[in-house]
Amino acid sequence: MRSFYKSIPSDLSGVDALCLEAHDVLRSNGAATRWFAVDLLLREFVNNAIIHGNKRDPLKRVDIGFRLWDGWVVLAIQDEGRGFNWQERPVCVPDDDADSGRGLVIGFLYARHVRYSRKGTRVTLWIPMHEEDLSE
Amino acid sequence: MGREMGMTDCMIERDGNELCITLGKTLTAADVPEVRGRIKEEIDEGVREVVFDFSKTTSMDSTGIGLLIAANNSLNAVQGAVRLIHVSSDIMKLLQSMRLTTRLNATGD
Repeated sequence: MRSFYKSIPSDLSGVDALCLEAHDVLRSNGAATRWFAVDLLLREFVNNAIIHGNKRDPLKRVDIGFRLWDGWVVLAIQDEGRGFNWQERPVCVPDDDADSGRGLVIGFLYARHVRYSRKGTRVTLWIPMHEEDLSE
Repeated sequence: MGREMGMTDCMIERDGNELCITLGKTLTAADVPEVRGRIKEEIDEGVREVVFDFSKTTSMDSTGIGLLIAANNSLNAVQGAVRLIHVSSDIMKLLQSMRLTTRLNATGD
């Protein structure tokens, strides 16, 4: 298997199972070394969709697409929220004593490409299947 | 000295003014609320150093990082600090990319 699609309720307790499934797909396709980055990005963006997108509304769901394609791990995450103006969000490491504001930075550090839909309710991330240095 | 397991699969042990939290496999948004409340209670009751043992931890997200910084900020206000031990290389790289290894006194295996 090289891809899966899931639709989960707005409940953080479902995220672990999702990450385990992603791990299994990576391992069975010889890409287990990318697990930390994929796990991190899945948690970061699915949690965001649940907490900030759907506001934990039990009637709303988060859709997740996971695919290995042509040397890339492609993640697509969509929520049912109102969206946000992602173009105005700064993508820089916040002050050292700030206890929030690192999620988007992590996205841009660990994924090669991050693309939002115009409304900001869908994000697609491309992660190379082969290791690369964070400083690149 | 007391030992106990929490809902988030972490073990908490207090010895005098030091609190040692042996984290479970994850320190993420799902785990943070319970741990945050417990740390606040312990600081209010005199804890001045919180040691986070990452020996079992393989996943952390930005909410987990936020917890560590919030704990450190609270402890700094009472002349205390956090310490991170047995941090995996992947999590150490994540902390390095956020310029937090020194601030959080992080050491690897």
